[in-house]
Amino acid sequence: METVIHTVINVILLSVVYIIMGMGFAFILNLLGIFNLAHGAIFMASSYGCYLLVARIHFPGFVAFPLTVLVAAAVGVVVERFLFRPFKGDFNRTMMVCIALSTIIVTSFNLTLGTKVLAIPSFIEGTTGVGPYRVQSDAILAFCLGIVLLVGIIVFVGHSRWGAQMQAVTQNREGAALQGIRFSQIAAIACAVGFGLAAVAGVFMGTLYNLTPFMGDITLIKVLMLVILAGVGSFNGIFYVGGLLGVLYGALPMVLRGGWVDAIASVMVLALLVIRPQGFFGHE
Amino acid sequence: MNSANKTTRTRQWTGIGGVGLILVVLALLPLLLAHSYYIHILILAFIYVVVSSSFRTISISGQFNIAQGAYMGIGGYAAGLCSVWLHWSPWLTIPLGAVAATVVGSVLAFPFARLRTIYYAMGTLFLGYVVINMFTVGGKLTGSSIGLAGVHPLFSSKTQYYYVFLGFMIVSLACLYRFEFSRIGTTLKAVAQSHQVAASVGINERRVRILAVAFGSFFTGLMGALYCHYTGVASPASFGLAATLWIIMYVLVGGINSFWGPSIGIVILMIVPEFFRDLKGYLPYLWAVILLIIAFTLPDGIAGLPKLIMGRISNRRGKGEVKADASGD
Amino acid sequence: MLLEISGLTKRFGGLKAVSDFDIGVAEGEIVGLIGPNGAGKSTVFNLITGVLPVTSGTVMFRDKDITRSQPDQVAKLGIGRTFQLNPLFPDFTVLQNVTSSFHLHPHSSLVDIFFNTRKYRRNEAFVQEKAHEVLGLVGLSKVANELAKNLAHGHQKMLGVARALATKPTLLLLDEPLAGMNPSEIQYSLDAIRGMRDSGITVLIVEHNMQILTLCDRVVVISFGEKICEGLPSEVRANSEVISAYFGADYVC
Repeated sequence: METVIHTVINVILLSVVYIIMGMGFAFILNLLGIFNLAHGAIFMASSYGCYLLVARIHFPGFVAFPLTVLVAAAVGVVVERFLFRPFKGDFNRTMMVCIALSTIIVTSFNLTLGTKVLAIPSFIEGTTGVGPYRVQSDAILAFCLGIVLLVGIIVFVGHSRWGAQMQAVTQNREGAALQGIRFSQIAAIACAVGFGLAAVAGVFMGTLYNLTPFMGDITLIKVLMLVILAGVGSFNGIFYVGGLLGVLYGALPMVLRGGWVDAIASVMVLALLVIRPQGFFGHE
Repeated sequence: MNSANKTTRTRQWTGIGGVGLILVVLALLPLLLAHSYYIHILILAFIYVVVSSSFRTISISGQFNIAQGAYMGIGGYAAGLCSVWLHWSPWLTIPLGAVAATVVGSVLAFPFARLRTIYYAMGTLFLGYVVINMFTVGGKLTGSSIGLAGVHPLFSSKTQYYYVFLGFMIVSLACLYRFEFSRIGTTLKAVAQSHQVAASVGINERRVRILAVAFGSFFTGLMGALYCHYTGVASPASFGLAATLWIIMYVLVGGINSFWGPSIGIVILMIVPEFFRDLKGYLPYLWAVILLIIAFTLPDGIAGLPKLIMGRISNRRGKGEVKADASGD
Repeated sequence: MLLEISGLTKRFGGLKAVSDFDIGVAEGEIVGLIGPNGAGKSTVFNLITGVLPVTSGTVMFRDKDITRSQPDQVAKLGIGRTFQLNPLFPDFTVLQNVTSSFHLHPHSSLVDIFFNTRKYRRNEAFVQEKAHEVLGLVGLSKVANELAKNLAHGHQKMLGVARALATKPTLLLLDEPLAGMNPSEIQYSLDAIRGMRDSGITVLIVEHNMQILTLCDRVVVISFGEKICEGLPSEVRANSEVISAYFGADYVC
């Protein structure tokens, strides 16, 4: 029984992390048409960054966390202005730029922090729960924050002026421009949100699980899976597919050994992709 | 018409001369290089030139095939498995590797053959990911994530490898060249530009696209088999997403629109950094800087540099002269 | 009958784009398929060539059922076509557009091509010669080495026709060949189409511009996906239903 609860919690937490990551990636993809291949690097950098702030510089957790996210968002705005905007979505050049950015970030952290496995110290020590069924207090905090964040995004996209503009841009960029929507503003917001969400996911991962030098690459593949299955142009699909990936990567490791999880998950994704290459919830 | 023929002729002979010169230099290099490490680097370069060029040849048909690393892996593992477990001679394993990669690559290309650009790219990305995962879960048979060791070497000295692999590279590049600059290549480019028009003149898009993948994966698989016999190991890490991203970078930096683009890309991203080996852990910064420089200044890769310069010169001379360039590079 | 279509129907969900359409084209004819915008004319072409799947009905070409055939198979059987929006091979030159269209005839096998055999070289020389001939026929010889995307609109249309001719079609489907042309270009095109028929090609033309009536042996009128009239150009011109379908806006008696 305990393993079942443990698995369910694992699935939920991973789903939240994946959905947040995927949402960030989708913002940049849907609004700018850019596959941000540096997304994994931001995820990893925020995780390690927060670790540095908490474990080395001894900031309290509830200061380090927002700080990390804000820095990531600021980086997003800068990257959009100087690395994305000049190329206007030229796939080849954007790809080069993203890989360059990712290499710089990952190398920097590898050089300064080495390749040991680390973990961000807990925000809230100890465990909570009922009777013998205990769960990390951090996990509950992360879950609540995650839900609040995601609800906030749904509200933002669905009911705010910026959100409406974003939806317009997603569907028809030129048409939106003709309506007076300033694309540069939307682009900046999209990247700020995108990078910021990656940071949130990174901190969650670092606190609830651990930090490894390859976490960026590993998560990037999962995000690509997520976004492609959900369908380009979709935000809603991220929730469903993120949940699916959470189930796959949260539950399967309980019954299968290491390599088999990746193998089974990737075969499933491939099969789904062959059935419906344009994704299940996208616009096209 | 005659003067146009003359300039094409001159260009052709200059081209052949240039290539011949490079070949002569390559043939003499082992005698000049002191350290066998440099020979090792060149051997790897020969392999990756072919792999990258194959990727580029496939891309002519409009297919950005990100499973390239996996094709190399199929060739490598096929040869490696037969070498380690069945003790077959390299005369068998190497062609087997090439054929295995071609067959598997073509079959797997089938469901994706009608997809457009980005969906094709993503589909092949996950295809490659699945293939690599298959190798990893093979347990003792395939050596799991560490890899399969004990693949029989071909020769005793690096120099022998060097000349043989140089030969393979020359033949492979010649085949790829012929493929691209014959009617086959024209048909590939036609399908890439408009599958609708192509169909109306009797070109079957799916057949052509699978043909491109089959051709490209043959040489990639061949290189994979050679690679494994050279290093003695077949490991998933050498063929995963990272490897494919590097292949793509070689091609983009060198210039995806030129046949020699991949080769140039390898010189810049593989050989030039060797001169900066002292940077050690800081070497990735050099790669990143190179990528950024190319992205900002030379979108067509380095191979696009001559055209860029010619464009600037003619812009200064006459205004807006439309240069109808009849032939590709 | 070279081409025989019966009961052709195409549904897009609840919308009937083409409804129970019959048409026959005899060898050597020039048949016009006219009707107002949105009548379903181009859809008929797309159904014939297999670009769109047929909901019901049959398409017979030379007594062979091609209802379910793919576009490239249809081309192989001898039906060439142009497109209304006129896609081209934009990055090819005008000449390359035509030479690459000689895919079916003469046919060189992969082996021939790869090993540069004598057969291949002979075929390629033939293709070059024929391509220049075709370009001459459509008046594009001067711009043979221009990139197709840089051509003027009228020239692009003629390039589409040249490309269709390269497939040595028995039946040529022209989709709005006169669209966007000025009067002299129109006259040139009409003469060119007559010349094609004289060289043995049967032509089925979809056109919105009524000037095509001077060219056709027979005319079929389609409106809202249904055939409303068929006969000689003079008969059709006078038909009151046809006039009302066009609301009298498109031609002067």
